[in-house]
Amino acid sequence: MTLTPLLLAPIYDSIERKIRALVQSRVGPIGFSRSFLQSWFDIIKLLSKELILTSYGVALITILEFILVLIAMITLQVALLTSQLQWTIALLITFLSVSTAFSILRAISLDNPFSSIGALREFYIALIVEGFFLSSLAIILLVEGPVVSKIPLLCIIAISCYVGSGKVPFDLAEAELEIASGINIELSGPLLAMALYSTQIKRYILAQILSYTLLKFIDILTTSTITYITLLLTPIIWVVFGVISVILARTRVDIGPLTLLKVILILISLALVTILLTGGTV
Amino acid sequence: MNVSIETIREIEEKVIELGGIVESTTETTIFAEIPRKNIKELAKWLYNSGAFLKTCVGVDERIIDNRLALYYIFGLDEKGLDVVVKISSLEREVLPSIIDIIPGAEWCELEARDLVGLHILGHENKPRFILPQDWPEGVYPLRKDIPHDYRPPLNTEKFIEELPREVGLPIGPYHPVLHEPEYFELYVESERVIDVEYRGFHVHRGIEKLAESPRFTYKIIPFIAERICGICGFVHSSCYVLAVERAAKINVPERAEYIRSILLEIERVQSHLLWLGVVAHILGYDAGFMHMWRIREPIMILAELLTGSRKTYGINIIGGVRRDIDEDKKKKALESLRGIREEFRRFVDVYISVPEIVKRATGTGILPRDVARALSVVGPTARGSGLNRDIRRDYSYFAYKHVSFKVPVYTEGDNLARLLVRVDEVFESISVIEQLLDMLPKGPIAVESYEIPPLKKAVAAIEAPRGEDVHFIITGLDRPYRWRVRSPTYQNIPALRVMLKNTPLADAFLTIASIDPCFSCTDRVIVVHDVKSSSKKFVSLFEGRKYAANN
Repeated sequence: MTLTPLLLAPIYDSIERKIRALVQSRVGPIGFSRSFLQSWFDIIKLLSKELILTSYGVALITILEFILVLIAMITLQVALLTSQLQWTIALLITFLSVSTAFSILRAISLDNPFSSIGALREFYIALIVEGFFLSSLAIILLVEGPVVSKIPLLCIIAISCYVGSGKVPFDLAEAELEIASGINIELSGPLLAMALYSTQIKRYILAQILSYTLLKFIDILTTSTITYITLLLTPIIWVVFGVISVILARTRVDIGPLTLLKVILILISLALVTILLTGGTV
Repeated sequence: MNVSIETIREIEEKVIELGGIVESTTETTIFAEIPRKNIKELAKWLYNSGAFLKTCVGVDERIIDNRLALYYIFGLDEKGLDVVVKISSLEREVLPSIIDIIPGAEWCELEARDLVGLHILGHENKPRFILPQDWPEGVYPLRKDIPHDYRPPLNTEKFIEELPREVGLPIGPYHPVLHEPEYFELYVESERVIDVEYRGFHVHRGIEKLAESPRFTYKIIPFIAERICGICGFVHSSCYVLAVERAAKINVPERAEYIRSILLEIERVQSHLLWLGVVAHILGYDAGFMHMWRIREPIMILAELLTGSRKTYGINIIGGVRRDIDEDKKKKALESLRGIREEFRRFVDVYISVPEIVKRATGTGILPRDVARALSVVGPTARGSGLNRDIRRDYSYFAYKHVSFKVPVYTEGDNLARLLVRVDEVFESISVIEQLLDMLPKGPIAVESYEIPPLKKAVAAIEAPRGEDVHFIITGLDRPYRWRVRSPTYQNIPALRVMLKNTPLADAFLTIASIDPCFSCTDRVIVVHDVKSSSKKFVSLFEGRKYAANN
């Protein structure tokens, strides 16, 4: 069961693509199998394409990034099965953050201006989101307190998961039509397949974290049922993220991250106000 | 629009005062020749009188009078009159430049220098503009003694010399946002563009020379002209036939003029819808992209109904059109237009209220009105900067004098202004098509016979989706002696340098797209030279890929 996300992530991605196509009045991947497996077909196709390496360092960093995402994924599945997620959450987020750092490092180490711009954009977004994400998650999962004061923190987690998924309008680091795929510009063939696969697994992890947090927040289920409901809720969250991204356009690097920061600060302020109003403790 | 006698007389008097002669005056154009030393003064006078520079054309007239000529084409929009002023020189003599008075003249003067070998003061030391770096020195392709199938030997070392010394942010020749090969080099500080370098004309432009070759005649050229562009090709064939009809004084039946106008407006609607979709795609709003192209589909089907083709209609001939619109088609067309208008109205309200689109288009890519005027920019780019110019209204051609329509003008000069101009124009064009279909007169659709006398000159301009398209022609025997095509993008690209400065990098791509650049129009048609079989043919991009794969 711990390895099922490896199979499911591209399937969820395919379903999202089909639903996005329907919202956009397109057909999307044609046929039953392609509706569920198109992203798998893409990965397999990329694996068969030629590999053009601009430096061995890029390959090494991409593999390390993939391994870190894998570790994060396995940690999450084990924690879910043993109902110990709250105690491993910091470790999990650290793995994800380090994998993001690797992708930034990979992009910035290349002698390619598009790649460098993509890396800087990724850095801005990570800088704004990561700290708030981790602290909000820790408070919600580890600290007892009134529900009302946790609502803003739940919003921060939802936003952070969406942003971390790299969906429009926060796909700034790739922004294909602006900086020609940005951080991924120098990847090809199997390495590109690996990077895309890492992104899909990361999206799965983030959707699962949000599902779990949501269920813990509602707190009406038993510990054992939460695990199974989380597994069911994950694809729904994934698809909801996909549909949201369809109705939005890409933001600009001087608007998007700043707006994001303002929204998060407002939510933090709201959380603090509610804590004060409800007696000073969470 | 009827040009007043006073206006014509005033211009003629000025030409004579500057030592020139008026060669001829038609309903739409004054042709004059003046001593080259006085061109600046005349250009200044015309510019101050409200004229825009449409383009200039270098012509090798050595077989006529042993001279090389440069024709400046000015347009007095308010009077609906073109003024074509010729200056000339012997082969080694120098001609003055007018770019200090009208900066918009730079491109066409450089083109005349590269292709005809004119010596124009101030341009001697500038790098090559159109010809590639390996083109031999002293060979000017548009001179009459250079055969149309001349191909220079390849010298790749010359291209290495062209590599930039300092690397900025290279946009092109191949980039996802550019759908055709073109090169912009952006110099950025953080994410703000501080300077821009441009290099175009990567796709060889052979069409004007080709039209002078023995295998083409007046009758075939409309079909080549239509292949200049894959989006607004009908504009080019219409502009070409209009120029020939004016030169040969051919009276085209009214019904043919209506049909041409209807198809020109259909082309505008599909082009604007295509552009609105592409802009949504650039801004990451793919739902907008897909829906805009969904709305565009019925207009493509309508074009197919009326012409037999979704694009490249191929119905223009000199003296009329080849295909009529019957009552059944008219009814279906009107019904289809009603649906397109409603669909577009519904969706565009959503489109222009998407916060990211509004935020990113507002205040970016600003082109001030005075710069737009100096560069003589055209179309939605001009109208978005407060210049109230539209060739359909300002000059008399085809059936536009019979319909009423508004010319949307926005003064902000930013990307949003240009976007809103196009949105408004879609509604206006649909209304124009409906009016024309309602009023479609009865009668023939083409003249039965005509003659085209040699060495007659004419200028034709048509409002394309991207702005004013200009064709200049000097007739020859069976084919043009000189045919010059000036596409709207050719006139608008120089403005990008101003528009891109101080723009956030992310919006630089939106800004480039905001002039709706059509590089195939600017570079004109591709000619593939098959070395193995020594055959040549015109190709579209798609055909080109097949050609490359098979060879």
